[in-house]
Amino acid sequence: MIICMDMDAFFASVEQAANPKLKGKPIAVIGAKERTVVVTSSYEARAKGVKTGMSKYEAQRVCPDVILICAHTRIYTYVSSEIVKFLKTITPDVEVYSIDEAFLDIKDNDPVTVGYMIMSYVKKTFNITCSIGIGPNKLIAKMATEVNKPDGLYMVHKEDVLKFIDTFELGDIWGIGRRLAKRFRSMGIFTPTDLRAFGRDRLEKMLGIGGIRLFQMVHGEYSDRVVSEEPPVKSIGHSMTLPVNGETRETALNYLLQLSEMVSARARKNGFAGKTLHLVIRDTDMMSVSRQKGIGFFTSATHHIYETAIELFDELWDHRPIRLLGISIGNLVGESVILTNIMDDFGKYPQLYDAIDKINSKYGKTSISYASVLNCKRIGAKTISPAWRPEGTRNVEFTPE
Amino acid sequence: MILNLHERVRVGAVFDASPKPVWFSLNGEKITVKEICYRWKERAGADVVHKYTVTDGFNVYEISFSALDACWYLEAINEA
Repeated sequence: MIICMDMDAFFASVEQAANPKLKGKPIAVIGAKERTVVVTSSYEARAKGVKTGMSKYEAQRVCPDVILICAHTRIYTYVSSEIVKFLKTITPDVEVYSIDEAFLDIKDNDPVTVGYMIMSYVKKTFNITCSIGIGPNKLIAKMATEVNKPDGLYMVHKEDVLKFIDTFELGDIWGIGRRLAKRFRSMGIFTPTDLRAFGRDRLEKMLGIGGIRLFQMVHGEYSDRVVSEEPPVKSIGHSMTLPVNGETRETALNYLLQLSEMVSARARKNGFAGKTLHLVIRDTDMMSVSRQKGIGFFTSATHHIYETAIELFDELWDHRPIRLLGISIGNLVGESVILTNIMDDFGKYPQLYDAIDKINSKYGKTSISYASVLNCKRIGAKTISPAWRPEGTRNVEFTPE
Repeated sequence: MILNLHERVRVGAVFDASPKPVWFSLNGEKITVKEICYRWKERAGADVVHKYTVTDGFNVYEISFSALDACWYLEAINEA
């Protein structure tokens, strides 16, 4: 059987547990002080209409007594990592799905006992709660977590899968987005039963291979297994919402240098070199433009990444105020840190990067950096990406708040 | 209101599996830790910083212990 563990209002619950003054109060966790949205909120705030994704002003409008808390990413990542460590003592077949969700493949033990054991550990160790769903596959287990949420456990036996899936509307089935559900509604398809009657062939014609997958899902079937190994990394990237709109090329270049350094440092730490650079610019109207460019050789060096990022930026930027910048390197090769190129006019880049990495490893990230980076009002990773994992290449070390 | 401080403070602690603060001094006054509300660890380069939120029954304090330089800090106060 598959167990899905889903933390209940994770960040908000941690904040309430860490500060007894917040217990029982409507709180919303926001990304940062400036220009940010609600990342998650406590159940008390949710009851008053606060929703994830609202701007902090919207949250204050619907719930004037909401307490806004800036995210403490380092506490959440610590708690998440410790919980994952515990899960791995139960079985090695643990898939970390996000910072607050994990799947376990339980073969030999009673899944209900294991489920209650996890709930008990989380509550006792971190004073927060999680919900447990148990089912014959990941889809059913994930959807079962919603039944008795928060702080509940629900198990769906194999023979009850169809009956269970029929209790959901299409839009509430994990993996069926709102847009797709809306499309089906416009066709008179509202429930899994309707979709089954629509038929496999017509779904395949409409959505291709995704249609076949969907047809299986409304039968309660799901072929994706619990994947405990980290899938191969295809790219390494960082993006940053600027605390104040970027109006000048100089400001943008300071952030690009910082991002280049973050990307290259993570590539070097994990032994990767990349050959393609991808740049994204988002303006204040939330319109994004992106382009990629071949660097011409494999590299893990900040100066190579930064030079290519500048070229791409100059090609792409239309002088509109910038809200977000992001870069990533792709076409990666592993076990290969490459820091110099025949065209470089300075021969000691490998020694320079080695010294930078050693200093930052000993004294903490960004202990030594380029002077221009100090012009940035925001320095270092502060936002937890959905791809964050407690270990491996996807593990990002966050800077103190 | 939360006051961010990061001030070195004297702390009386029990060193068991991990350091457990029992009291600390603040402006010459001894504050007894009534409850450790939360504890977590953060890495700062080679240093492991043990962090705690504690309460004396009135205020909530965030204190930290740097394993590398063996010093305690009062990071923040959330006053009643």
